[in-house]
Amino acid sequence: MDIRLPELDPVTHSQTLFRWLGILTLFVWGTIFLYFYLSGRVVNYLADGFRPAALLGGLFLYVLATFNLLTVRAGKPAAACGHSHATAACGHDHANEADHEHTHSHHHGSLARARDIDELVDTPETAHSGCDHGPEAHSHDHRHEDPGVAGVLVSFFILLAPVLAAASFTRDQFFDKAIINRGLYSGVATAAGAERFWQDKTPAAGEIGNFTLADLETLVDRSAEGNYLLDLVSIFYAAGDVELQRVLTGLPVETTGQILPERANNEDGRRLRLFRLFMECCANDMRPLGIPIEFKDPAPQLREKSWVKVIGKLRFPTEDGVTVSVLEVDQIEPTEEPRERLLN
Amino acid sequence: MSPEFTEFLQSFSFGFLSMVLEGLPFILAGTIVSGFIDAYLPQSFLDRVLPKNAVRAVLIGGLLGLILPVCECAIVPVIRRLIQRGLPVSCALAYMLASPVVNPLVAASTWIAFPDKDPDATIVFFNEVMTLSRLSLGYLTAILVGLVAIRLPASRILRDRVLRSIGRPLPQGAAMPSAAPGQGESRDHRSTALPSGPDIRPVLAMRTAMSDCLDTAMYFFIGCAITTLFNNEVPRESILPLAQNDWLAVPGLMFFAFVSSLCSTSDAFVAASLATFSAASKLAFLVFGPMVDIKLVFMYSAVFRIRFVWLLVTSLFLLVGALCLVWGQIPWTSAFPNSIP
Repeated sequence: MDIRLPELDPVTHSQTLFRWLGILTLFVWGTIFLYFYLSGRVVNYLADGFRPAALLGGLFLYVLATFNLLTVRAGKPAAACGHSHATAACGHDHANEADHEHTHSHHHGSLARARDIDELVDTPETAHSGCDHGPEAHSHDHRHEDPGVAGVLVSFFILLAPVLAAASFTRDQFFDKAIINRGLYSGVATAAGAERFWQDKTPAAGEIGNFTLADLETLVDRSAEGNYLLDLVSIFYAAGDVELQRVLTGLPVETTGQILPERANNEDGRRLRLFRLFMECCANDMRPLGIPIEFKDPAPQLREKSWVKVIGKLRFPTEDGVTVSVLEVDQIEPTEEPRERLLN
Repeated sequence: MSPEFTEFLQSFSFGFLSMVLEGLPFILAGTIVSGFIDAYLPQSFLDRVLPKNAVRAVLIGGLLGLILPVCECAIVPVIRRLIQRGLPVSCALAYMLASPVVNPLVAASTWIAFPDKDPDATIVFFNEVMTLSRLSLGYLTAILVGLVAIRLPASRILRDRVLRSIGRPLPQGAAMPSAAPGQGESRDHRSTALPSGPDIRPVLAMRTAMSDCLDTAMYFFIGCAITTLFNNEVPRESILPLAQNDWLAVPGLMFFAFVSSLCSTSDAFVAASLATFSAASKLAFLVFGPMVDIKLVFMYSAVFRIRFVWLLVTSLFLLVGALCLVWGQIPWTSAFPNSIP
């Protein structure tokens, strides 16, 4: 298929193809960015601070693509002789040299003065220059590395296919295996985490050291039934600080999360794992933060990864050498999936 | 398609797309900057502002991130064009390696991520020590690489197409390089003066930006795919046994940083959450990760020779590992617990 456009005569097949596919690719990427942002799906992919960058990225991809589309013929003087230079008889690619003083004697000295803007842009893997051809020393660009149309198509397959396929396949969430492999059962509450996630629930100084029940009552909302409303990340990291453990032990709390089976210390089958996914920047750095929830009787059968609201009392036993938050369940019920599946 | 394979594809797509949505805008920003550098920055500018002394230039290059903070995704196209505009390769390497570590955003995030005092430690400035150590070792590593690069010919470092574009002239309307007669010709035949005509610089800038964006993104996507595959399929528990011994923990966390390809502005939070690992291994994670990871290896390959990229990866692995192991032996670090409870 000859896709070379007559008005772009001095450009090789692959360079022309690169230009147009490049513009198309930027439009496709821009559309994906804007779609994910405007549809709200971006909340599951990016943390708050990175979402504006996705919007700006989509807009600038459009700007870049549009600018290149509108200027696609800029710096491209038409060949006066009316024939193509793409296949010079000397065996070199003279594609960009439409405006040389050509007399068909291949006066290479004048070729170096090519005015074509394409000579100034390194098309990826399609151009190189400066080959030493000995005494003749003709130094115009030619394309020993030009991968041809097939090479350009392969490049654009890599640029377009994975992104398009990912945008089609994704369900805006990880499935069980990925969640488990990313550390659902191996997370340990650290002092750093306790300080970070309890900072807004501690007195102005941000110090956990003197945390009291009065602080908790002042800074944490309660439900109509009097349960402290805590997100699961805070509950998880409470195990990283002895002051928090002391204050929270035995208090009624209410939280939401997803359910998977519990693996350790569950011989009698009374435990499930309640977890939330937490990301720093994007979903790919996601960490599952989970705690065991313990029933008085064998745990009920719940659909894996279903969303539940749990009311219960906290305790902080040391299990396998690590202090963990355990929520003793008083009440559990299915609940709506939140708009943002991943916390950040 | 089996349900397992469908879930594999969907998890992979989710992780991969999230990396693309996060990283590509920064690559785009970097390539737009690179496009304008290519079109507007005369070589004489860098000649003027950089010290003539190569060692001094490297020392300054390592600090450029403090005033021109560029993340690891955006830095590659930027340094490629700066090299073309005359930035010495040694200086560019120092800037490229230091910028994702030695910059204000990374300092702030590291400061916040670590606790200001550790319950079991006698030293109360834990976050200050980690932040300053990260920046210092990042700077030291970057300039050591830069100083070694002074002695290497550019032809052994740069890919041919980058090498041959060094010293290319600005298009019509821009200030011409003040190269000595013949100098430009010897570096690149294309430095022959261009004839007069309409100002094509904006077009050149945007066309270069598009070209660089596509070029960098291709390597970036390959790196993202491998990273996502690792994160989804390799159990995190597999690195935990390494925490028992610093000789294993330091290289172990550097390898983890390499495959997880985290953003340098937030990797400190992940490091701080690695409860059973020593401070030295976390420091290695924080210094090595922003300089080298899977996606960066592919992105570096757009500018540097493959052999040099692997030499760089290996050297950085050994250098950062050694520095962090030594750091772990300094007496005051014994105040840090081997594991942050």
